[in-house]
Amino acid sequence: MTFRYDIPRSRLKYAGIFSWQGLYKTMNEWFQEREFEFHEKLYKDKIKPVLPEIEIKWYAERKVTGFIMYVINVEFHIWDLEEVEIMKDGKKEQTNRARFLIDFSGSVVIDYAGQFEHSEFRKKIETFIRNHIIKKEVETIHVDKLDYMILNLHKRTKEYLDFYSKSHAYPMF
Amino acid sequence: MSEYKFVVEELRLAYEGLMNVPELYSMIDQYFREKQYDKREVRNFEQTTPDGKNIELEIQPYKKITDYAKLVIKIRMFFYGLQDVVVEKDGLKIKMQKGKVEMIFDSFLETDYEHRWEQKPTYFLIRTLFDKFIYKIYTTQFEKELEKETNHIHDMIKSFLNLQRY
Repeated sequence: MTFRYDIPRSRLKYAGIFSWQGLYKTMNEWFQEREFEFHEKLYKDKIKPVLPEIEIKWYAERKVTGFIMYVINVEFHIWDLEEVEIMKDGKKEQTNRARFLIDFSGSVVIDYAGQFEHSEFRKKIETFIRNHIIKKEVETIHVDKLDYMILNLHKRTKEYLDFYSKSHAYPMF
Repeated sequence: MSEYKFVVEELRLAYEGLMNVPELYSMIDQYFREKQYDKREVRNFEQTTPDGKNIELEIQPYKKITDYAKLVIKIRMFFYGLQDVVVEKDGLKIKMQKGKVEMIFDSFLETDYEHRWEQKPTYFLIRTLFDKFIYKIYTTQFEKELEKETNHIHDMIKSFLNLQRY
């Protein structure tokens, strides 16, 4: 019986100049570095009369053990994306301007393969294991680790966008 | 649903002038790390306008004291019209920001955050009686600790901003 420990959502919003391609690549690379299985569940591009609106949903999973899996969800919503030319270090550079929001969330999934689903007895065993045997291990090791991994991704995104609040005093995962 | 006991409500701080925003954020982050709070950044909005940057930031660092009680300090920060300036201090050029900031501090004690004592009406009754008569001595201590830490971070930020004036 699959059970999830959810990590609450955190939200980033930005309006200004940035490179959309660079941001997409930077965030994508983060998942590859940590060997997550990456899926783009949704890419919606609405061509509006003036400027496009884009919605993207990412889902990434990593099987930690045969029983525990980490899942990270990232959702983008971008409005008024346009190409602009700026002067940087005396050279002309093509970049983008838009306003967008990014939602980060995640969960630690127990029994992702559904091995304990097949009978009521197995479900009871799974509940007992989850609540009494591995509870502390899951909460202190896995949930905290995934929470700080998501904060790391958050930090990488803020660094790319040059947010003032990009510093991070906590351990990196 | 968990029980929330507000210890500090809407404690405000306003400042206008020179400040180092990255260092301010770093100081707050470091403070909570040292006090063994876990980090939670709920919202982080940055908007570039012709008049400067507007930032809205909400953090809710928390500390699980026991498997029943959790301390949460919520800080909402609003920065308006931030512009980068270069200031000369002791012969060194330092990049700082000029603008307005408003901060609101709230802190609360959350009990039964794992929702174990609300599944049945009898459990809920036991929890209420326990909170009111048996566990009260502990919750009072937790509340005092939370109030002290909230006031401490408030005073630290105030001192930090006032130092930036000079």
